[in-house]
Amino acid sequence: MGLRQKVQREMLETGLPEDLKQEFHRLSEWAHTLPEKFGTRVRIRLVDAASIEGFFKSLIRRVGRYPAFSVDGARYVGADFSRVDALVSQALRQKEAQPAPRSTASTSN
Amino acid sequence: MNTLLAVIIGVLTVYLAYTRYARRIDRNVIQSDPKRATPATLYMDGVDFMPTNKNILFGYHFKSIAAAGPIVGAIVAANLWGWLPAIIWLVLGVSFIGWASDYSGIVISIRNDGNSLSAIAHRLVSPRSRTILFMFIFFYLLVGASAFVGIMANVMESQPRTHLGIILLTAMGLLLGQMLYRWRTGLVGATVLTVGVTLLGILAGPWTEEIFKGFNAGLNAMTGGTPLVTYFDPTLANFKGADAQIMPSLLFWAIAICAFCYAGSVLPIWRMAQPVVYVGFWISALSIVLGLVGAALATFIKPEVAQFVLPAFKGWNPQLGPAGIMPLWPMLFVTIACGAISGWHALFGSVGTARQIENEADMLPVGGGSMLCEFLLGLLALLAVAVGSKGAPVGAFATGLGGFISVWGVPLQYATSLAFAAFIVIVLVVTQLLFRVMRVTLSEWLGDVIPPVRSQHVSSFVCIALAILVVMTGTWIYLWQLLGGANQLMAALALLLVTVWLASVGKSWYYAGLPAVFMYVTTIASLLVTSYNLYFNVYQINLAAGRVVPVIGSGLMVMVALLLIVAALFIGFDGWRAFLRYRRRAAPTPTPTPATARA
Repeated sequence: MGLRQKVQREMLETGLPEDLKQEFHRLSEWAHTLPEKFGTRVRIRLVDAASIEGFFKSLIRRVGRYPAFSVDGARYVGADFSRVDALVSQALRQKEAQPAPRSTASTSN
Repeated sequence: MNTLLAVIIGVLTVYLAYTRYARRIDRNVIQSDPKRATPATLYMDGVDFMPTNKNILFGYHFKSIAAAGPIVGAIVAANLWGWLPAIIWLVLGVSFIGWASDYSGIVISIRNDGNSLSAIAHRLVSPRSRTILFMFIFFYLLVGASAFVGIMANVMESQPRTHLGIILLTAMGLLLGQMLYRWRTGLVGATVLTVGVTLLGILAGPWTEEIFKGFNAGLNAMTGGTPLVTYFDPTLANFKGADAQIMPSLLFWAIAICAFCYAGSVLPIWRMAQPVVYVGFWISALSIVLGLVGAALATFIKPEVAQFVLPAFKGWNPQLGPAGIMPLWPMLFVTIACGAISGWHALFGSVGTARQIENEADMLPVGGGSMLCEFLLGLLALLAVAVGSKGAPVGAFATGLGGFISVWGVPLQYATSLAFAAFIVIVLVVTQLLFRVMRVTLSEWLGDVIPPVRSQHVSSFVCIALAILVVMTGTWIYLWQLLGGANQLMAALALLLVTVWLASVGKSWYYAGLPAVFMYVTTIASLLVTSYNLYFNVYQINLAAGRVVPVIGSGLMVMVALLLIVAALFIGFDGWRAFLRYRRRAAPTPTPTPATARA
């Protein structure tokens, strides 16, 4: 393993406390199920809440807790991913009713 | 000359270099293809290889390259040779060499499966070049960390107004980590609280100056006012040379900075490094944005802070005499590294940014664009010191930047405090990361031979002890120029590698090859000058006086300089042979130049 990978992995390993790391893994596993459920109709964008972009997203979308999800403007805050699936399905149904580009789900964690 | 004119020159430089030269090379020589798969998309693993949006990646790359370098280099060079040579080198360097180095570091990695420069050197040049590059990195980091600790300790000792702000930055960073990751507070509220308190602490600095002055005096009283170390520094007394003294207060602040870096290096990232960087970002971004726009507006709103007071040109070799030699060529070209060209950028671009580029069309805006923006940061530092009052370089910079910020209605003394704090914050944030990388490098390098250095605490202590030893030798300017030499040598080697690669794939190599030759010759010459200065003006004089610490420190620095020269000669020789080999192989087919390719 190269030097940079060592530093990078060490930073990733200590990047979050254990409970948040578990939560992040669950979020990651859920994100990987999206292509199976919705194919290429959904694009997901992950935003680190503890970042400058996260600050502005939190400010604009008035989010105070995480993870927070925004599906075409519809918002959900919490870790019940079935609720996000429902939001995505609903957004896709609306899209099908009126032809438009792909649905975008973004999440802050 | 005034700041408005300089800002116009800066903006024009960025526009012309990007649109008239960089885009042409990208289109005609590299022929970037948005449809070609990048390593980030081919090998996505969520750790190293991760396709990332170009706007995010631009910010990430810029944050990683633009730190203390462009600020410190411009300050030192303007004081040594005047503002005119400094601005000319910044403009020409970034236009013809700097962007090309950053951009090419990314290109060469992307077109070689995301491999690092050392891995590509191993394949294209010679196996030994990889080993030499690996050893080189440790000394490079050591010199960098020492230079940064040295300048921060000096500023903190001489400017007690900065103490409260930096103490609060540390405390607020720790609090932010606790709020975000343990109490799970919302980011907006936590940011407002922690950044707000830090900012208040910085602005309140002048009120607490007397308290911290007393604290420093108390520390110095512990030895009855006797210095801990006395050494001859040839750069003091306007380069006539004088005895310098390391007082307990300076050592205290150097150790305090190292303790901060140690904590940042061994604590979990979420606990300290990440939140401190986050709070520090807001402080430095606020100062830079207010300063840069203020510099442009000052000509109309507050003309007295917009006029250059520093001499335009101080001479080709202004310090010839007892202090040693300081010729404009080659020393200017290593004193200002970041902002004009920097090897760190190519190194980081090849192992970091290149593995996150999702589309080849992003290579130029991310690599070249970030470098051109960093040039603006270097220009801001140069303007600040050019309009600042006389005195120590960092003091002049803070006074100048404070003047620009005061255009917004902030009283000058508070604006100057903000400028001082921004300087320390920018340098501090980088230094803690340098120590983290340095301890990992040390444990990788010597861990098998000396098992105790595998411990993060032992390796951190070794790195810190070496850095403090170098700081105690004084002669900070030589140390900075040694760092510049190492950095620019890395840039020359990166450009050399790009040249060999371009020759190997039958592309026009001139845009990288000519700068590589210039930087290679310049860097080796500068390292020879630095070795001469260190040996004859520091080592020998202190040896004759029987001063052990500066003798060991300056001896270590001379050894590092000579090692760098030997490494450069080996890699240069191997690179030249590889270049000729590929040229001969490609000889039957004429290499298209940008002009012919366009036709």
